[in-house]
Amino acid sequence: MIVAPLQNLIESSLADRSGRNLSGYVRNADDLMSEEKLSALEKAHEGIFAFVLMHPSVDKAVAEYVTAGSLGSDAGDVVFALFTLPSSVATRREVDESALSDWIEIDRGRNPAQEMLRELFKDKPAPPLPGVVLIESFVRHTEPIYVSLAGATTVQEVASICRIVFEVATRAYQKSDRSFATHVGTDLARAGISYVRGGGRSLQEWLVAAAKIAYANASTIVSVVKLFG
Amino acid sequence: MKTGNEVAGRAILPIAEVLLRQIRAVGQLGLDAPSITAASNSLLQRCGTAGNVFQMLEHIAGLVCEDGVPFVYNLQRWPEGLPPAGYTGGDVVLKPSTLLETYVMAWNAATIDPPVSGRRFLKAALWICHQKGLAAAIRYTLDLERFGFVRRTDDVHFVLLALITAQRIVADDKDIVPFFLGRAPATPRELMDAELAAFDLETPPTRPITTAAVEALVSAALQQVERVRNATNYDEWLTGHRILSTHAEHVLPIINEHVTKPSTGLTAILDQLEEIRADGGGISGIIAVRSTTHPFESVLPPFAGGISLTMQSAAGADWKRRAVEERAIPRAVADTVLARKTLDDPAWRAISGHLAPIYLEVVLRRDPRDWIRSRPFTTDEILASDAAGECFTAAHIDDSRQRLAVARHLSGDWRASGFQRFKSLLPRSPGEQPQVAEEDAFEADHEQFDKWFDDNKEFFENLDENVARAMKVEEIERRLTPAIDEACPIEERTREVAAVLELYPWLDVAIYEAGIVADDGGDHQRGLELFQAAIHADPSNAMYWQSLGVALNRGGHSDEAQIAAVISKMLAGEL
Repeated sequence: MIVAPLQNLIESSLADRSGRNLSGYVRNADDLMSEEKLSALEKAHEGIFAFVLMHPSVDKAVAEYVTAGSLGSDAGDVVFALFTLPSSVATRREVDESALSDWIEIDRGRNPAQEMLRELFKDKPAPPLPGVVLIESFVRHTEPIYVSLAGATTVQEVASICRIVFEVATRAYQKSDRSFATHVGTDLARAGISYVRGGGRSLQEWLVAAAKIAYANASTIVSVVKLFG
Repeated sequence: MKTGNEVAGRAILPIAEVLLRQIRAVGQLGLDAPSITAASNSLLQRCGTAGNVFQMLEHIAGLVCEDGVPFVYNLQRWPEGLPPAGYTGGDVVLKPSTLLETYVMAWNAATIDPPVSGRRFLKAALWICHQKGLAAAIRYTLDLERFGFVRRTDDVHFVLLALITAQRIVADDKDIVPFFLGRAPATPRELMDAELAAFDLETPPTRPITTAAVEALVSAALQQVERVRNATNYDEWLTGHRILSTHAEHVLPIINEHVTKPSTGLTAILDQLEEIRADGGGISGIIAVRSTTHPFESVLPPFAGGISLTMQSAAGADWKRRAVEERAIPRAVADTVLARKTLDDPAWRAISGHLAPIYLEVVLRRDPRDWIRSRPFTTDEILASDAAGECFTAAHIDDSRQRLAVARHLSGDWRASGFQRFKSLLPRSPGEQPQVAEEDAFEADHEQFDKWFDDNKEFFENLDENVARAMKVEEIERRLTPAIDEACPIEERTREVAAVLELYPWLDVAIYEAGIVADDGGDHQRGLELFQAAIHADPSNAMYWQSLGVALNRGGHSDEAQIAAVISKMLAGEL
């Protein structure tokens, strides 16, 4: 499974192919997650986002699932999987069991994923980690859905839940009669998977906060690189 | 490499490891190099000595290859039961002498007309494909290139293209091996003896390239980018970048041909590899330009300097991060080279003594026994040299003005004086009057000499070589004579030998004499290190091994000293 920093992917989606990729360079890092740039990413991607939140040394089953390599294929063509990696490996690269090793040593008391989750559920108690946040759009007013993986103790259990979640999200994306969150919520309820709805809001602000939390914790938000357009 | 005991661990095992790295570097740096064949005398001699050292250590110390080393069969002598292709580790144990043989056989297969190496690599990849699938076969093929088995980049390209084209033709990955071989081989011997069936890669494809195949190609290239970024010294960076740009040469056209609609993310990766491939050409260009003036000096500072200029204009304030992420700049010295500061760490300033003999022959295409000076002679040094004077007299260049012009020509100052001439055309400060007569005279003089040099190019090329050779002999003799004279005070000997080493850091004789002086001065550890370094430069010199044995014995390592003594006798033809 190949991953790339989210910044790279935003820049790639901005690039003018006729003039090589230099035009895709973001000259100001603060400007990276502007509405215009995230819109370009969403247009290039044509799908929804799934952000896996976990602490690599505490949530071992999820960490193992992420580094084992099937997250990309499980996510499919529509779901754009995001997670965080230590900055030292945050270039385009293959993810393997060594990818999180630098990061595994981080203080268990400091948990960037927890901070990101608190940012997502600002006005209410945050659900337990680890988990997956499903996001329809960062620029439109949408409602995120959080699926906790706290009950999954083995990599097989994590993979099984994630596959259902990604399948549900893909189906919901392809339907337009009701909101994305309603579709996902209904299907997850049918599948017996508990979830929390995050309330309607713009998630651009949350992504900016998440990127800052990642940076402050020597890590970077990365995405699984899909190979075919 | 690993051993079953510690008997050769002090000095000889490290030498064996360097010899294996040197042999690997022949393939890594010599991809497509026309001047290098396995039959090159110095290379054959080095391989021969390495083979003897490996065999001795295999016998005495149970030497075997470390885990994770890829290998490919050879038809001359292949151990029964060993798979024809794969990686060492677990039950797969490979002796370094067998690995060495297979290196030489693989290189030789590339020199046969028409070359047969591509077929061998394809059969090896098919074995891996049969055992572990197509993605593993792709990674294995690129690993063979990374570890120096490949001489012709076309071979790797042929194998990758054949595997991927076949994957698209057949209905299922398990049909790839029968597509080439008729049926899957049941035993290693069956694979090695198999003839390739008549296969048609022009057959229309039935399915697209698989995700696993694309991912294997891209991952191998990205992993190599990481290796190059994580290099811990200039040798690693240079050889790693050579392999990286070659990997990019394979991966880019194959993906462009077989992936009809790459994603945005994949396109970004391909763009990055395209830039890195171009960087490979840039690095070769810098090496070529500096090959006569500063042959072993690191090309990283000018290379990174060029990148910093490009990236600053393209990426704005964030350019440093982008330079490190997008290009293969080594993290260890990225801050220094991107800030265009001087590299202080000797490990990054120049090619090491380990790689120098191979680099000389394979990259600079010079005789490894040449006495390569770390910098050219200056005009003043040429004019002051008796040896140069004799060369001038023999060439009938007696006039002092002519000698000055020739000395400036040989030292490279003539080109600089051309720049001075250019400077004289630049606008002067207000009120400053051009000295017309002086400039006219200078111009006339220069034009006359330029014509002389242009009309007699071959003559001056020969004179250049003769003067340089004569001056090197004069300089080394002058400095080494007191250094090897035991009657001289040790301080003088140390000073003179240090001066020779500073100018000729890759000259085995100078390294060896420095070892003798260090040992005589009581610094036995330094002496031992220098004897090892002399052996790295010329492993076939019996005297160097003998001195190593003496130094080991003096240090209390009598068992290892005996091994060194036996190798010395073997090289001297006394065994």
